[in-house]
Amino acid sequence: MSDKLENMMMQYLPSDKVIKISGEVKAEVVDEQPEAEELPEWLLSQDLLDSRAGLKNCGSAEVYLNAIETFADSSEENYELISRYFAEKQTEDYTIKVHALKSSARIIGAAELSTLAARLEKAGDERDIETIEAETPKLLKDYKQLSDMLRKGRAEAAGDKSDLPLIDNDYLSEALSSIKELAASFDYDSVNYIMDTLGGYSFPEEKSGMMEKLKTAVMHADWDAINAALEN
Amino acid sequence: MENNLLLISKGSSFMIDALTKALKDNNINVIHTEPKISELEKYKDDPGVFLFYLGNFVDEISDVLVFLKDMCIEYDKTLCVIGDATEYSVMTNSIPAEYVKEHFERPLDIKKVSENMQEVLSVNDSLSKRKKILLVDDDPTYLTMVKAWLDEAYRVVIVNSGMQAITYLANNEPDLILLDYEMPVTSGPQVLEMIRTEAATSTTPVIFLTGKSDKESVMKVLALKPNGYLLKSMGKEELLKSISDFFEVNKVKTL
Repeated sequence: MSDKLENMMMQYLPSDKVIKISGEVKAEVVDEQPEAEELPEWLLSQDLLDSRAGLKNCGSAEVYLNAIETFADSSEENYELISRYFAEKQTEDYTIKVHALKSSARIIGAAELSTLAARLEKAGDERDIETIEAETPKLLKDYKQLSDMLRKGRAEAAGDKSDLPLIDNDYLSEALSSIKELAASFDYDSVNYIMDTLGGYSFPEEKSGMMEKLKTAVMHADWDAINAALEN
Repeated sequence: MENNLLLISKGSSFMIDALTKALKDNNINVIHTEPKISELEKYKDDPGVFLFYLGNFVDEISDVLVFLKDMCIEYDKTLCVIGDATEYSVMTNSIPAEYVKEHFERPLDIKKVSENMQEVLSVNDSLSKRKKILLVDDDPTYLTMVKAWLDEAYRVVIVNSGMQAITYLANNEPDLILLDYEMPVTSGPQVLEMIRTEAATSTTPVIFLTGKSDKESVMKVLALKPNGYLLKSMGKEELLKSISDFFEVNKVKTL
C-alpha cells in the first residue's frame, strides 16, 4: 500500500479501527531461514553429514547444535545396543533402535546413514535376516565414523578443559541436591541451567564418573537415570 | 513496572538462581533482598508482591518476621512463601497462615511457582495461559529438538520412556500427550492403554508420533484410537501448526 493511501485512510477512519503494523514485524516473519554461517567451522568443513540440511531440519543453529550434541552424546551407548541386539539376534529390539537412529540421523543431516537405517528397519519389520546380516556391519561402521568425528570436532572446539577451576565440595553438593529436588517435578530447563553452571568447573577424580553419568542422563532426559546417578 | 516481585532470600543458591531465571522467563521482574528490617523498609511502596524463600535461618529472625507481618497489613502486601513444613511452622508463629497467599512446599516445583506468581501478579501475558504438553520419546535427539520447537508456544515436559510418562501422569495433568509410537520396553500403544484405563487420564488427549508413513502402519496406529498422529519427519512449522489446529478443534468440541 502506498504511503499516501495509508495516510488518507488513517485520516478518515476512526482511530480505534486502525491498527498500525510496522514493517519490522513483517521482516521478522519473512526472515526465518537459519544461516549456516552461525555453525562452527569444523562442522561445515566435514563431509560425513550435510550440516545445511540438518540446520534446515532443526530450524535454528542453536537447536541444530544441541541436536548434534545429543546425537554425539548418545551415540556410544546406542552403538553398543545396536551391536548387542544384532549379535544376539534380538530383531525386535534391534529394529526399534535402528528406527530411532533413522530419525535422529535424518535430523542432523546424515541422510545416507538415515536411509541405511530405514532399509534395516524395514528388514527388521519383515524379519529379513539376510539383509540385516549383510548390511548391519556397514551401518555400525558408518555410525561409528560419524559419531567419532562429531565427538572429536566438539572436543577440539571446546579446547583444553584442564584449566577449569576445581569445584568446591559444598558448592557441588548444593548443586546436586538442587538437581535432585528439581527432578521431582521433571523440570528440565532448571536442571539444564544448573548443569550449564557446573560446566564451568572441573571435578575431583572420585566425582568425575558420577558427573559423566549425570550429564548423559540429563542429555537423554532420562529422569530415572538422573535420580540413579544422584543416589551415590 | 507492574510485574515486580520482591524475592526475599538469604545468600545465593542454585535453587534461588534457577527460580529467578524461571520467573524472569515468565516476564516477572525479580528484585532480590535479604530478610533484614533495614532492607525490607525500602520496599514499602513497591513491589506489592513478596515471595519469601525460607531457610533454616528462620528461627533466628523473629523480629524480621514481625516486621514483615506489619508490612503486609499496613501496606497491603501479598505474601507468598517457599519452605518445608518445619520452616513454615516456625514462620507461622510470627506471621499467621491467613496472611500467606500461597505456600509452596519442598521439593520445590519451580514451574508451579512461576505459574502461580504470574496469576498473583496478574501478568497479562499469554504465557500464563499456555497449554501443557508431555512429550515422550526414547530418541534424545528428537526429544530435545521438538522440545525446543514447542517451547515457543507451550509449556513442555519431556521424558524418555513410557514408564516415566506414567510416573509423571500420576501427579500431573497435561493438556496433551505427544507419544512416540515405537519405544523399547514399554511401547507407545502400551502407554496409551495405561493412560486410557486410568481414571485421571482417561480423557487426556494423546497424539502418536510415528516415523512410518505407509498406509498399513498408519492404519495400525489409528486402530488404537488416539486423538491423532503426527509424522516424525514433519518440520517445525508443520508440527506447530498441527498442534495448534488440534487445540483449536478441541476447543470447539468442548464448547
